[in-house]
Amino acid sequence: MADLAEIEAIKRLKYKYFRCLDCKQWDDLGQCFTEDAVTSYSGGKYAFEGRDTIMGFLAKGLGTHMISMHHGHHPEIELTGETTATGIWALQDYVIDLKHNTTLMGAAFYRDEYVKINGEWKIKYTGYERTFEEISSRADTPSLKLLQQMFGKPEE
Amino acid sequence: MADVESRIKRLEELEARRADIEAIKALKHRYFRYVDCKQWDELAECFTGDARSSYSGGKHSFEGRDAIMAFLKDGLGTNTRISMHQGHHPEIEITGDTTATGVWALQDVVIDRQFNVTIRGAAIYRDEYVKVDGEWKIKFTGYERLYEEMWNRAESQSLTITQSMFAMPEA
Repeated sequence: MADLAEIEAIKRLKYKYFRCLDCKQWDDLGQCFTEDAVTSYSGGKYAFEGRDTIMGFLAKGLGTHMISMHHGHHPEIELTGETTATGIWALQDYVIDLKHNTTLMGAAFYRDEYVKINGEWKIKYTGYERTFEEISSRADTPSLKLLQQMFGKPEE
Repeated sequence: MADVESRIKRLEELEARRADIEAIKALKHRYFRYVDCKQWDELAECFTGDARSSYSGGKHSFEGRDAIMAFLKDGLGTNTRISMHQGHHPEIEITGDTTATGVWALQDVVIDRQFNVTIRGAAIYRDEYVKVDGEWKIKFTGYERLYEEMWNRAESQSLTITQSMFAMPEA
């Protein structure tokens, strides 16, 4: 019973992480990490230590010219102690880069570590390995046009 | 003894709350399935009579179940449109005995066979639910698009629909 509530809380943490990432809510996203969090995105290509360094990378990499969708599926959450847990997630992502006029599509498996601090679960370590990532020029499809977008509107 | 009783009560409350969250997730899952399977009568049952919608950041705002249903049927009623709407990342909050809110991540694809275009996108839903006679219903639903894009399927010459739930109407 208590275990199920912890697993649910960890899933919610990851859902919030993805939502804040795509909505560019950097302050709320920062709250998802411990201060000493470590990342190993893209199999270690983007390895960072400390929340501030991670947040600097994410906010810079996903500026308003980037429209992103990150969806996490298939949670495999394991409680490893009273205040520690691990998680595996399947990612599907789709990122439109308005500056370079490209679309990125990919999938990956996340391996995370979580820790409970003052009753709240936080991400202590997060990393993923890509099953694939591919990039295409949007110019290959001349008819392709954006009808709606949350970020990077022409007037911005 | 009083301690045990209060613990049992607390556990029962937690269990009831979890059951409500699962029922709300199932409601939203059904909602998406009925949209894509064009089961309009069943879809209407997902809403309260006074439900409101604010699709596409308010671009498609409607008041009342009938007005919402008319909009959805108008947009997706034709067999020339095939849709996939999938909701992920449920963040459900129970806000009272009979009220709740939910945030969902949407990914959707719509193939329009009449105009030969594909529309795809992603959005964040913000919903309000209410429990009426023991059943959770959608009282308010709205989303903001992360993106929506469209392209002409004729540009991919090999692209062929090999299966579809909905047959093209007779010419």
